[in-house]
Amino acid sequence: MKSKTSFYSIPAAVIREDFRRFWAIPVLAFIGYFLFGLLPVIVQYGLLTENGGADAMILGATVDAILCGQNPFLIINMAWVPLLSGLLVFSYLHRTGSVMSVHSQPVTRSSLFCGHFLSCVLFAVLPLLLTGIVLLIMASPIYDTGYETFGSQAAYYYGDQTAETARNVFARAGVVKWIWDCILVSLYILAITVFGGMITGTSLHHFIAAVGFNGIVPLCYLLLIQYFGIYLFGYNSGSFSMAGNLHPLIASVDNVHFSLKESLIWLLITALIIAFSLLLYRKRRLERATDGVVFNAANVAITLIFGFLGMSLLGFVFHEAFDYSPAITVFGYVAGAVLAMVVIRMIIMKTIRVFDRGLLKMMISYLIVACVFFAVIVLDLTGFESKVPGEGEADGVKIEGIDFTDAMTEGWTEVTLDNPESVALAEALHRELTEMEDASKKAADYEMTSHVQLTYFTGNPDSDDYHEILSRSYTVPSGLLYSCPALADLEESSEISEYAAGMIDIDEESIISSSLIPLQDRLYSSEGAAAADPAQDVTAAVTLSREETQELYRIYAGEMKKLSGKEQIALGSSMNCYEFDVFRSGKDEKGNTVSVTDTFYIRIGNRDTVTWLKEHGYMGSFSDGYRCAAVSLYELDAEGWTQPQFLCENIEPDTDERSVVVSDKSVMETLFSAMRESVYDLGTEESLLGTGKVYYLTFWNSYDDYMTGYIAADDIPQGVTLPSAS
Amino acid sequence: MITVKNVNKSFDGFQALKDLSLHVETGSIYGLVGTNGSGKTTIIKHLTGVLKQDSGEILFDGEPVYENASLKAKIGFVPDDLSWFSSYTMKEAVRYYRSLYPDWDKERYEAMIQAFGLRSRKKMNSFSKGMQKQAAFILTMSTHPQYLILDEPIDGLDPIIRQLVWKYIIEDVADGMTALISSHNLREMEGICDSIGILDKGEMKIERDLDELKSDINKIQVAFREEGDPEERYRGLNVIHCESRGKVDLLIVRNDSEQIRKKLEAYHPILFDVLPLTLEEIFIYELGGENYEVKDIIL
Repeated sequence: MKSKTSFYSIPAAVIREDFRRFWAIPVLAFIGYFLFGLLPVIVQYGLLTENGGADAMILGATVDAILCGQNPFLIINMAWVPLLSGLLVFSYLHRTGSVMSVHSQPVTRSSLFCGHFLSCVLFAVLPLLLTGIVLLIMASPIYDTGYETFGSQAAYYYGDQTAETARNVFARAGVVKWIWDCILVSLYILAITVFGGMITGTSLHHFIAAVGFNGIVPLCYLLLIQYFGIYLFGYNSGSFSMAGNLHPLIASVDNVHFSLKESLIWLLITALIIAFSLLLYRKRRLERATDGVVFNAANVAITLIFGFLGMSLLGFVFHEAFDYSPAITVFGYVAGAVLAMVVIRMIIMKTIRVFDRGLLKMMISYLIVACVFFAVIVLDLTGFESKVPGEGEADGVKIEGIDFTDAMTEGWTEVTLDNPESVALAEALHRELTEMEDASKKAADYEMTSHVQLTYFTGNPDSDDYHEILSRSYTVPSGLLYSCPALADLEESSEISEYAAGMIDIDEESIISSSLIPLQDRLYSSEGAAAADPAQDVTAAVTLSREETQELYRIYAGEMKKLSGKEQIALGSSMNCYEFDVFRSGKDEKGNTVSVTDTFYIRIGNRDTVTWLKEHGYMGSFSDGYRCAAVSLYELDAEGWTQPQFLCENIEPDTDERSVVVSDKSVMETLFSAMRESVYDLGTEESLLGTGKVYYLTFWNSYDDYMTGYIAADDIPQGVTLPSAS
Repeated sequence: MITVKNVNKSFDGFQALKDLSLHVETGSIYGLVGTNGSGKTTIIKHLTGVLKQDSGEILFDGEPVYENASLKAKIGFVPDDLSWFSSYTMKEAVRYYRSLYPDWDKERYEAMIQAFGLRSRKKMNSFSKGMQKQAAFILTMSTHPQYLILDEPIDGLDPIIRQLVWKYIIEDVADGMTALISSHNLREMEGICDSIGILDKGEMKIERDLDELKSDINKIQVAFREEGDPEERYRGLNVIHCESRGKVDLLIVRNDSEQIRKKLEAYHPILFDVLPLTLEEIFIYELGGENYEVKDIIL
C-alpha cells in the first residue's frame, strides 16, 4: 500500500520534526515565564484577599515589572528562547553528516529554511502567547483611569484600594502590548541568530556570531559616538538613548512600548534580515560546513568589524589611562586593531597560522579606511564644529544647561525659544561656544565647567513638521561661559524674561501649604558627611500654613518678577538657599483635580523674602546647617591654577604660607555667600588672574572638606588676614 | 538514466572533480570505485543535489537534480555518515519519511523490517553501525526509489545481511530501478555491477560495462622454450604489467585475448593461458600498476 504526500506539506513535516527534537525549548520557556512572571502575580493575588488593598502596590509593582520590561528574569527568558532555538534548529548546517542527509531529501532549501524558521518562531511565540493568555484571564479591564492603560499605575494613584478594587490592577490592553513587544523582540533576536547560522560553519561560531551580531550594531554606534565625542567639539554624545533604536531588546527594557510606526520598522528590518538569510542559505556552499565562516565576504567583514572594536577598545583605554596622550592613544588604536584582527582570524580559520597575504590585504584596507575616518573627524573635514544655523534657518532653539532662572527653580535648565531675536542671540552664543575648544581642553580638572546643549528646530512649533535640524553639546569652563557677551544679551532678552515671569504664576487661592527646606541639608547629605555621622543632624524642614505660604509666595513672586535674568543669577549661591515647595491643587490633562507641587529657590539675595523669613524665625545660619568647622583660603599664583595643599582632618592650619584658615562663623558665612558671585565673575583663568588676587576656598566639617570654590580678593570680608603669595 | 556531463567542482582552489562524466543506464547497477579522496563522495553529493557543480550538468532522465524536490522524491540515498539518523527511533523515522516521500510503501517497510529482524524502539544512536546501515537502507528502499544511490552500503554488514541487501537491490533493479553504488569492496561489486566507473583524483579513469572491461584487459601466463628478447616478443601489445617467474611470464595486457594469442603464437609458446582477471586487479593495474598503493583501498 502506498501513501501519497503533497509537497505543500513538507514545511509542516519539517516543523513537526523540529518539535519532536526540540520540544523542550518552548516547555522550558513557558516554565521560565511561569516561575518569574505568572507565579509572583498569582501569589500576590492570593494575598490580596487577606490583606486587602495593602498588597495592591506590591501586586501593581509586580505586574508593572512584567509588562514594562523591568523583570530581568523575563527579559533573559525572552532573549534565550529565540537564540537557542535558532542555534539548535539550524545546527544541522554545521555537521557534514546532517548536511548531506537533510539536503538529499526532497525538500528545497527555501522550504527547509521556511520550515525551520517557522519552528523557531513557534518555539519563541507559543510560550509567550500562553503566558499572555493567562495574564489576560487574570487582568481586569480598566476604563478611563486617566493613566496609561498598561502597567498598574492606577493601583498606585487611586490610593483607597479594597481587596475587590485592587484586582483591577492591569488592563488587558497592557497585556496585549506586552505580548506584541515580546514577539517583536523575539523575532528580531531570532532573525539575527538565523543570519549568524547562515554565514557560519560550526555551532560554536554560530553561537559567537548570534550573540555578537545582536550586540554589534548598538556597540558600534556607541563607539562611533564616543569617537565623535572625543574628536568633534560640540558633538552631542549624550544621545545614548539612540541605542534603544538599534536593538528592540534595549528599547523594551527601557520601559517603552513599541508604537505602530516602531513596530512596523522593526518588523521590516526583521523581514529584511530573514530574506537576506534565506538568500544566503540558497547561496551557501554546503561543502564548507565545519569551516568557521562559510562566505568569504562575511569573513572579511567580520575581521574588519573586529578590527574596529579592538582599535576602539584599546585606543579608548589608552586614551583614558595615559591622560589623553595623542601618541599613546594612536598606538592603542593601531595595536588594538592589529591584535583584534589577528585573533578573530584565528577564531574564524581555527588555526594560529593566519599570517598570510589575505590578512595583510585586510589590514592595509582597514588602515586606509581608518585613516580616512580619523582624517574626517580629527581635521573636521565636514565643517561640523563650526556649523551654526544661518540667519532664518532655524525657527526655534532649545537651550539646555544654562540656568537662566537658577534663582527660582532648580533643575529648570531647559528653555525653548522661538522668537527670531532670541534665536539669533542663541546662534551668537553658539558661535562664541565654538571658539572655546582650546580653553575647554586646557581647563584644569578642578575648574568648574558647564554643560550646554543647543538644539535647533525648523517649522511651526504647533505643527507636526517642527523638527530638529542641528544639535550641539559643549562642556566649557563656567567662567568663560558666563562671561560671554552673547549670553548676557540672551539673559536680557524679552523671551527669557517672559519665561522667568511665567515660572512664578500660581493662583494664590489654589495654595494649600508649603514646605521650607534649608538646601545646605541636601548638599551636606550629598557630600556624604551626614551619612558618616547621622547623629549630627542638620536643620529640619518646616511646614508653613496656607496663609503663611500665600504671604511668602506673594513677597517672593513680587520680588522675582522685578528682576532680569542676569539679576536673578546674581542673587547668590545656589548652594546657600532654601527650597520653597508650594503644595496646591491643580488639574491634569483630562481636567481631574490633582495635587501639584511647585518648587522655588530662595537665595541670600532675595532681600525681601529673606527679611520675611528672618522676621518669622525661619532663617537659620548656614554654618549651623553645615556643621562647618573652618574655611581655608589659598592664594592662587600667577602661573596658573595650582591645586592647594588640603588641610589635614583635624583642621590644623596648613603649613603652606599662602593659605589661611578661618573659623569665625560670621566670616565663614560671608565667605560662603560671596563665593558664588566671585565664581560667576571670574571669566577665564587668564582674565581672572589678570584682575587681581584670587583665592581657592575649602569648607571643612569635622571630617573632611565638603565644598570648594573661588573668591576674588575684593570680595573677602574684613577680619580675614589674607596670606601673601610667596 | 543518470547522466553526468563534464562536471567540475573546486573547493578553495582545490579541484575535486575535473571534467567528470558518467552514465548510468536505466535498470542497471553502476559501481563507482576509486581511492580515498578520488571524488566518489563528492560526485555522490552532486548526484543527490546536496552540492551544486561549478560547471557541467547532472541529469536524471533529462532533469537537473539540484533544488529539484520532485525529482529528489524519486531518489533513494543511503549516506556513509548516518549521524543524522541518530536522534530517531525507527517509528519516528518512518513518520518523517512517510511525510517526505510520496511513494512510501508501508507494507514493504514491514516486510523488510521482518526480513532484517530490526524491530527496535530504541533511538538509532544506540544501534551498531551495521544496524544503522540496515535501518537507513530499509527506510530508503521503502520509498520505492526510481534511482538508488548508495555510499558504502555494505560497510559494517555481516555476510548474510550483505546478501539480503544485494537481493533487494537486484530485485528493484530488475523492476526498472537505476542504482549507483560507491564501494571499496571490489569483490562484492564485481558480482553485482553491470558497469563500472573508476575515479582517480577527480577524473573518470575508466567507465565501461564490466564484461567489456574484463574482455579488454587480459591476464596472460606464457612461457617459451627458447630465451629471447621480451621487448621484441611483446612489441605491438599494450602490456601494462609484466612479471617473470623463471621461464614463465605473467602479463597484463590491454588487448583482445585472440589478438594476443595470434601475436604470441609466432614465438611458439610452450604455455599460453588466459587467466581470469578480477576487478581488483583491473583496478590496481588501471590506476598505476604494481606501484600503486592499494593496500588501503582494497578490502
